[in-house]
Amino acid sequence: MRSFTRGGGLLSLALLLGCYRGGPQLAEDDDTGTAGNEETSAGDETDGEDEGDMSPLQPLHRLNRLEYDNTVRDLLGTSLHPADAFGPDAEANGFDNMAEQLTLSPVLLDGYAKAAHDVIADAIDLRPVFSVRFASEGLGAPGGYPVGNLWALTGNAATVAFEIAQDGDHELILDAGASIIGPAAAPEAAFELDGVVIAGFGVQGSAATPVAHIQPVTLTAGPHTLRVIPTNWVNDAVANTSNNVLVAGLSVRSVATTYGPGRGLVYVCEPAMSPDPANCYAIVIANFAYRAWRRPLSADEETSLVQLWATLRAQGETDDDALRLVMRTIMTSPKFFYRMRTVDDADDGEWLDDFVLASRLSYFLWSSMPDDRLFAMAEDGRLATDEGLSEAVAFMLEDPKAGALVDGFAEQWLSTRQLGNASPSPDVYPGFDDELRSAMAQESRLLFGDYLTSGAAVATMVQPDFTWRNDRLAAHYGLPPVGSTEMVRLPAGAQDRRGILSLGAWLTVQSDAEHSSPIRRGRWVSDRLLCSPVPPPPAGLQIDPVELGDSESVREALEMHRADPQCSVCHTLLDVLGIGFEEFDGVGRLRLDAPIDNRGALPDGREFNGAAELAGLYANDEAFVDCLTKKLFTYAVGRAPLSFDTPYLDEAVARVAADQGDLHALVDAIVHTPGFRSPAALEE
Amino acid sequence: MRSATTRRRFLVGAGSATLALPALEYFAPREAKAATTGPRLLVYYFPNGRRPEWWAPVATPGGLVFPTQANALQPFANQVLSLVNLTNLAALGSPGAAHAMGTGTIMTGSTIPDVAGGVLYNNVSLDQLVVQQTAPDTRFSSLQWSAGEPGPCDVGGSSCAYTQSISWTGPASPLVTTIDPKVAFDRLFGHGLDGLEGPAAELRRQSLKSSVDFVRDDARALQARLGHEDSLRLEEYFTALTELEKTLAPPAECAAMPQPPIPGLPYPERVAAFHQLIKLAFQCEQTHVLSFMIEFGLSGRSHDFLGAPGAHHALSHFGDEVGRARLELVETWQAQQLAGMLQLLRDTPGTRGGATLLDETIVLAIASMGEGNGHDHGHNCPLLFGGTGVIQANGSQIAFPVEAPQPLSNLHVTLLEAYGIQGAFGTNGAIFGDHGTASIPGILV
Repeated sequence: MRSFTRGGGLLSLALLLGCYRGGPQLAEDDDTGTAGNEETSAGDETDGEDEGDMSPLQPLHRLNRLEYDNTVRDLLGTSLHPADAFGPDAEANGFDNMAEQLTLSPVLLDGYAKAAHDVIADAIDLRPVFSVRFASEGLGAPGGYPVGNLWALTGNAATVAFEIAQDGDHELILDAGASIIGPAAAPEAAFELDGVVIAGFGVQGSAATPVAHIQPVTLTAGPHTLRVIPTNWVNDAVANTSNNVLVAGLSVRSVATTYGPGRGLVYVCEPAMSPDPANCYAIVIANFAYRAWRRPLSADEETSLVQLWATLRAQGETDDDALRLVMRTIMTSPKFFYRMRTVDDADDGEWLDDFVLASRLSYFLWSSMPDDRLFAMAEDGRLATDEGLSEAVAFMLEDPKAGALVDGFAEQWLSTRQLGNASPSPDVYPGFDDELRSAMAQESRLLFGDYLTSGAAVATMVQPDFTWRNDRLAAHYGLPPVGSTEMVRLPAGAQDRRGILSLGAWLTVQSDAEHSSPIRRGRWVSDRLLCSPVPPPPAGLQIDPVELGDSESVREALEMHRADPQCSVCHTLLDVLGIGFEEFDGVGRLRLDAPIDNRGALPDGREFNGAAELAGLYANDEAFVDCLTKKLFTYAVGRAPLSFDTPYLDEAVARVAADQGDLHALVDAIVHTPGFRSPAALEE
Repeated sequence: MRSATTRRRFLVGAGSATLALPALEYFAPREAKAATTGPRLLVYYFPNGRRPEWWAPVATPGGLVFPTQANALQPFANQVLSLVNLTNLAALGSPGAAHAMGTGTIMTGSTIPDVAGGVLYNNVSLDQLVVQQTAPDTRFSSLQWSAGEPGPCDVGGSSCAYTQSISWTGPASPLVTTIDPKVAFDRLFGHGLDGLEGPAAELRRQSLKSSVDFVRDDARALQARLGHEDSLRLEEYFTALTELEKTLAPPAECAAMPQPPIPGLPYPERVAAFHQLIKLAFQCEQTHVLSFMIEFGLSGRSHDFLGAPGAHHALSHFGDEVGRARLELVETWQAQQLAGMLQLLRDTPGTRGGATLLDETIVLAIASMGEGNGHDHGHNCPLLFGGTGVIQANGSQIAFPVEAPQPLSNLHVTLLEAYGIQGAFGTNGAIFGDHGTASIPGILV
């Protein structure tokens, strides 16, 4: 029977009060002692997955948007982000990389097909040696205004500056459409290069269908200024007559071309220089399929892919077009955008197939495909061993691609991703602008990112000896300036604002538009930090609107929750946790007005005054490491922890806490758990 | 479909079976009817509930009169069928997360057992059941669009799938909406052939077909080598591939010259752009079944352009007069949007024998719940428009008493009947969802 001492008894009290997913009756039934976290209790209730010995399923796992973009970056060298056009990924357990949630709809497959076309072209087609593009405010036409993604010049000249590295022939391209209202003349414009008008032209196209207006020029190396001047702008409001130039983009590009950034990755031999071009194409195809499908091909797969290329050629496509079509085919196969296990996998007892494991590792730590080192270890059969795993983790965390742990894990764990959608009221918080939003986002990312490199114990995340800040953020927090618009790392001590609990990003996200929200903050803390998420309100609840008068303090207003036994069950936990953060207003600023009622309490009775004291209760506490481990494990395996995982995770937590383990140690421990690296039964 | 009461036995018996898989054997269409000249279906969805006193028309001797906040709909008072007090029993009976539950079940009528369990478990939605049973031969069997922007999802860690989709093809298969009008346009009138024209386009069409045939065969071979549950799960790939293949077909000739929407439009213009696309999709016979979400469930959108700042969801739980006034502005604007859509349909001549597109289409305007403040699943007041000759959208109202509302799923049952679909598709022998057992009298002609 597990002890309930972890977390200061928060969970035991929660169980007694019946405040957890599933309702009160579970308190009477649950004597299995596996209620160490909410997820396992729910597991007992709703499905048979935690049947003790059976390793939980590792189902088909579709790539999410971050993973798709990173994968095409590494597969093809492209810097495009095709996943921006994909629909949203469903989330569960606080993350968007949960296997069960990632379904495939026809719209998404359409998106995959288009994305494959676009990234392959970007990677290997010819492109100008020099190319620069200006759009929107970058056009330097401040008197204009946006129309969708276009910029209406409204009689103002667009003025841009650029620098050419090499003399040569170039093209000036104005992507624009014409807007004509009433009997106005069609708009005309002129290109002025370095102070000299070199061409005048009529603007074709429309807002929905801009046209490329191309002017060839010869440019010398060095800086240049280009202006686009509307020459016959008309705006007669009375007569309802006007014309306008709507600019999608203004570009300059060289006529000289070079291959895209992925050419070398894809063309492992050059057909034009090969004695047997067809064989070279076969090698290129096989190499691409191996990397795209993340494992060696079977003889059949290789033969049929090469046969497809030959068929396309026979139907009339050129060699290179046929290659691109085969590459698109490879990327439209489920073998590309799903991670999977098959009956052919070389599982070995307690160890997954090396290639399956390589993908699990790379998508955990890099949100991307394996690299050559991982493939090499997999080919040698060295990866699926204790030493191999640790060796891989070590070089993977050293690699800059490990920044994906910030993009994927930290941004979701710390709610930084939602900061983009947060809309604090401009009336109440007029100072909340994009610059502040950006600074807050960076603050969270840099705090977590620090633990990737510094070797500090993860248990110090609530009370680290450093903080990251820039002038804007310092001003917002009411702190002395740091002397930089860029974020800088500062030492922090007991009196300083520091640690996860004082991050502006989550405090803002977990607030309402016009004031702080103790309920949402209490919920965030109980889920993210204590791993005891509170279930939603019970069914059929009549919620009467709360009249929040000025005279009542927030605490008193929330008292009403605790008057009703149906509500108090959970709000006893949430409200008093959240009230402890009332020192921070709806945008994470310290309140300096009248004494703030900041007295929070944990359900076990321990009181705290403000975030700093709460941090003190959890600094270096195994309970915090336990919850962080569970969150990171969830992210790593794409499912919530189940009772099967509990003993292994407990062991990992105990070891990391005892050794003052850093993030590397935690990651290493997680990938060694059976839930991560052992095969689950493949039901036939 | 799945049977709620035998669920536990089924799962224990199947060992580590996950709930997420469509049980394919249940999807064999029963008495499938060939595509007939049945009406189109447009589901127009509103998030965060709609207050009945600002939405439901009042019956007067002179006909139905919409309240001030919905008087934009008054021009359609003689083409509406107003339903008052339908109860979404599936959402009522479910634990919390009212928006996930309300939105998730509004077209499926099946209780979601655990919104935050990490495993998706809903049911086929009405519009997708119509697709599955009538097998329309349009280029797209159905389309799902939204002007919304994905935001935080419901409480307790519930899956965003429940607030971001109202159309489901199976228990674990929500249809993800397209949120960019330009992308929707391209899919309809598109770019599918790599920007080529003439003989080069024909060659490319043939090549892309070869590519699709290849991945299909290759994926079938893969399916045989997957574990049992994964191989079932892969079926959604084959469904998607069939739809992809359809987009390779040349788009239908359409008399209307479609103008693509400008990329990057702000929210109100996006709503308008989608309205135009809905009209075009119908007019150009691209689909007969379309669902449109004006925003996602639990929407926190701040309607600054209306002078009603503040997250919509927060406004729906207004605590004071200021909030209430802003909510009124939002709900009024949304009614105006619906009116705009109806106007477009009414202004366009019919293509299948009806006088106008509106005559040929059943428009179901429905919110995730009744009054948003109390999460009132028990008093939803959907509106039906159009569908001339099939439904009695002729200025009538079927109102149930507040204390004895009618199950919402009986509306779904009625609509199934409107499409001539017979059979029991719900749980435990129900016709639809958990509680849809009989059609509501007075709706069908």
